[in-house]
Amino acid sequence: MSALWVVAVLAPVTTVLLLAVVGLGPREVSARGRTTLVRWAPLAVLPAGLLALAGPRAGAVDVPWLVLGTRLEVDELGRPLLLLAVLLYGVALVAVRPGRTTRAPVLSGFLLMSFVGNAGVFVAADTVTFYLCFTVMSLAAYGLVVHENTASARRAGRVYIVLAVASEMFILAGLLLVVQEGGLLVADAADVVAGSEARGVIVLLLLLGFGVKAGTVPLHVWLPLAHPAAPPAASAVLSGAMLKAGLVGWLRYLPLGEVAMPGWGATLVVLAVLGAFLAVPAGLLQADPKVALAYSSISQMGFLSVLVGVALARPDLAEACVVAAVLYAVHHGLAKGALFLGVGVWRAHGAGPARPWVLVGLGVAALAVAGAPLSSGAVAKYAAKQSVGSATVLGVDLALLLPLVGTGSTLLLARGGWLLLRGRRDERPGDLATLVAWSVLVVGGITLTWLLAGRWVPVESVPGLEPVTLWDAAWPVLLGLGLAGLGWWLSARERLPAWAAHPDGRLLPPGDLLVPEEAMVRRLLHLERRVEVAVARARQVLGRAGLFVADRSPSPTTLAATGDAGLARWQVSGAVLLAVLLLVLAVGAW
Amino acid sequence: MTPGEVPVQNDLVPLVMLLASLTPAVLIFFLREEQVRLRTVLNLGGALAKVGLVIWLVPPVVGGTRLEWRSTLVPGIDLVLRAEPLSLFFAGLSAVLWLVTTVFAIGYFEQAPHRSRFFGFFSLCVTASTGIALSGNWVTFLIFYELLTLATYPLVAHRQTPEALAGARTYLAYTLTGGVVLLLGVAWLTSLVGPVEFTDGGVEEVARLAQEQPVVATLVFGTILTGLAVKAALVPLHGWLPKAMVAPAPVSALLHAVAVVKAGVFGIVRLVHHTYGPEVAQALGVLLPLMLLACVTIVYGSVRALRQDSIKGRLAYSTVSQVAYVTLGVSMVSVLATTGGVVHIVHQGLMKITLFFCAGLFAEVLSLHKVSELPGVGRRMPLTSAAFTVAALGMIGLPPMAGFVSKWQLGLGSIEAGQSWVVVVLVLSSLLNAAYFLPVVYALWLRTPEEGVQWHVEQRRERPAVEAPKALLLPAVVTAVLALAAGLLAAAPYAPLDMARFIAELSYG
Repeated sequence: MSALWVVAVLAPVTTVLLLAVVGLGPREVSARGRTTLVRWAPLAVLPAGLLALAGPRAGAVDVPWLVLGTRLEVDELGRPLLLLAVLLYGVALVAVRPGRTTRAPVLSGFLLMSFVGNAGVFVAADTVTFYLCFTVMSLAAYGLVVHENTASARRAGRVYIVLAVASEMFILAGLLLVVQEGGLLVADAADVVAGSEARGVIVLLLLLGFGVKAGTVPLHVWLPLAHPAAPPAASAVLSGAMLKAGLVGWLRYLPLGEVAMPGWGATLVVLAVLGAFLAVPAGLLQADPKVALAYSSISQMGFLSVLVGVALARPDLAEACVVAAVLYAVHHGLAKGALFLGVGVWRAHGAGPARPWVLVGLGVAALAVAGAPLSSGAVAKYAAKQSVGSATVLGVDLALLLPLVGTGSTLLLARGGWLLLRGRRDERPGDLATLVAWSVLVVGGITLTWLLAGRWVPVESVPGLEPVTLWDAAWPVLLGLGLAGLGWWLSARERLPAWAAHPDGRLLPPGDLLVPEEAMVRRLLHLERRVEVAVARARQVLGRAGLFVADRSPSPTTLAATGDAGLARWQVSGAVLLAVLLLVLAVGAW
Repeated sequence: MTPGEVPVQNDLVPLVMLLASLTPAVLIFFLREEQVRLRTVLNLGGALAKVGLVIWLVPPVVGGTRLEWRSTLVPGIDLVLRAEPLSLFFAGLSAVLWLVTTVFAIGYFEQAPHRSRFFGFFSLCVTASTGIALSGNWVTFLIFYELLTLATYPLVAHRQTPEALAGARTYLAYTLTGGVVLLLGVAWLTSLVGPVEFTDGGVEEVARLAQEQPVVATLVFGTILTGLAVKAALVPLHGWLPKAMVAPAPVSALLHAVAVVKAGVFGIVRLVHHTYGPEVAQALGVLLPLMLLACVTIVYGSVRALRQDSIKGRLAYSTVSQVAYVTLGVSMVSVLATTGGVVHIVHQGLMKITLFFCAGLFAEVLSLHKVSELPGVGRRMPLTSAAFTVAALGMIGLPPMAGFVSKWQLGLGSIEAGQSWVVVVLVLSSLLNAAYFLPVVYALWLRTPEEGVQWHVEQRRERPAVEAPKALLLPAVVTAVLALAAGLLAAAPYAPLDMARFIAELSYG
């Protein structure tokens, strides 16, 4: 089986290397070689799919000489997610068409690198490998976000990379503490954290670090910028698979089920609920379907984070919550991936003969995300609702609150769908391969979650066909549809103020909190520049005063002055950073 | 481990290693400018011979053999060259990097004047750093330490422009003063306890001194450290380093990666681990100030680097910061931290030399010297830009590059040593490194070249077959691959990490 592991890792890595090397060749050879490679690139993720199918039978593989000793294993938690990654990346790679996609070879390369990191996060069995894969994924994703190289893509990339590097560092600090206490193997990590004296600090660092990836409020700001900026294939994997890597970080390293941490658990639940609900109005006010979809992802990740928060606070519920979270992650990954890719598919095929099927597919995926009866969302939501049991947040029963997230999703998706259907379409007719691959994803999204529940993912029960269960799943969606209809009716008759009737994304720009944050950074930089100017002026004055001294001693060393200038800058930029870090640590220790 | 347990063999090999670079140095001075081929043969021959010697020596030395060459300088004071793990570790780095830098320099100085002078001093400089590596006692160390100062001065001043001369003068003023302070410290120590031979885990006589006269022992430590801190560029004695940037690219590369700054930190390793011993130094209370100094240097260097627009200036301040990692590692009483510090000698060397090669390539091929001139260069020089990217990501400490391995060990070590706050410094430093390296990477690959830039070749037009002269490009690519390999294969036997751990474990007995 270790041969399969080798192939699974080497196939995508080699393809990326070949793409790079071929690109160095003479122009024609390079173009031809790269086109061929891009065409065959989807095959590179298939060996990993075999690993997912083999599951625990694939065994663990140890490579003691690689990095600091590498161990990989497909375990119960990673297996369904690995399959999700293979499916999503495979379809995304098919959707990258040479000649149609801008700089297709580059996009393929970054997708493959992201895949290596992303799949690695799911199967890493030791902490160093986990961190390595997480980093590879984070960096490669930067390439996806900035791929279009437009001004908005570059801004999205800037925001993304700042948050990604910061999250890397929180994770690094947290994992160093975990490993030093004996949690080198992922399997031991949760135990070690549970027994650690620095438990509070570790949990805080990991909540922050993985929270950036998982899109937890207020660390979500990169999402609404990155998703619309990236090509559809890239948004699909960003939302479908990469956000789940943050979730897996939590599931692997937080002491879920080992020890009760009601404070941190409640904090996460509150933030998650805030994200799940606040994303709805934020997304409704947007004018770009992909931004609306991105806010829907934030909302859905909030739903998922509720499960993690409950598991953190209540060890008795942890096991069921973790299982439900994995199932939900697979469901949401597939359905949201289908929606993001569907944006591209609709634009290409919306006017062609495939139009009815594309509409049906989009509708099915949207209903799944909303959690309509019989859909994969119904299974996942059912499991989630069962698992949180009697847990409450601020006195409100979570089991009552969670279905309303479905209402919010319905509204968001209705808005996104409306924008998409009325939006621009491509001039050129679409290609068949992408349509077929997308269809596989849509059909897979419906069936896979049903298939996995109870087989790979040991949930207690799946929703039956009795009327009560169907109604439980149906009413949030119906409520959402009703509200959406009402909104449409009101705005069509101009009964609403213009900002609500025809939102154009200006009232609340994509990235919401980011806008004041960016303004703050600009002010800080401005302040810094003013300090710098003042220092320069002071130096001039001092220089004039010290002219005679300078004449007598021609030494060019102006150490003191340079030092002063450095200190002045340091006081602004460095001190702010230090203060933030110290504050975070102090809060964590307390 | 007491010295008695290790069989020391008298052998000429350490001397031969020194001669491998001294002989070419002496011969090259007598060559005429146009004897290019002979000079190249001498240069490369010496470099290859030394790499071969190191490779040949590593297995027996790891197996426990110690080779020593000893000659009496004045009665009572010996000149000692010894092949033991740490000396081979440093000599290995200098041998490999000397080889690649020689290739780079040959390409760089094609047709330039004063090549014999340059390569003569260049080889002399390498002789000095080999001498420093192999030194078995403080007197020998001191001699080669001074030789290094004198051999590098003409290299820094090589271009003979007023700026170069001024930079070289600053360099000389700093390092000579540092040398004098070091001399004082070593003389003081010798007068107290007799000639001090480097010993794993510390010298007994020094430990006794520390017990009987802690104040004097602390002062001696401080004096020697001050002398070393100049070359190691610890704040506030780092001022010469950014000024020495006027040197030609191969010199800067060697200066920053292996020769001068590394000699300083190597001396600090010798001082803490092979003279006082970590436990004794800890008991004396000299390690905490050293650690604080290293932390201040790490952060200060990074903050200054942020504002440098000159590529080499940015790299220079980055060196100030990165080299202090080594000091940080050896100032914590923990095998892991010491491993991290020692291994960073090699890791920083590989990454930094790559960065300087790339800076040299940008300057030579496209006449670009500033960060603000780099937008879009990735299209014209993809391999150089890729090498730069690998090294820069490594400097930030991202896996799987070499820098991550150092940072990981240092982080684990600081927690082990009970100094968890150092993790905050490491994280802060990484963030700052990212803040000054990522914009460069971004500019190289993603920004479009500015209008009217001469070098920009239209996408439609044919690219030149190779982006830069092979002699310049090859070394940069090779060192970038090594910097990646040192991280990817960190856990392999005989990898730098393996050797560093071996050295650290010897030091803790």
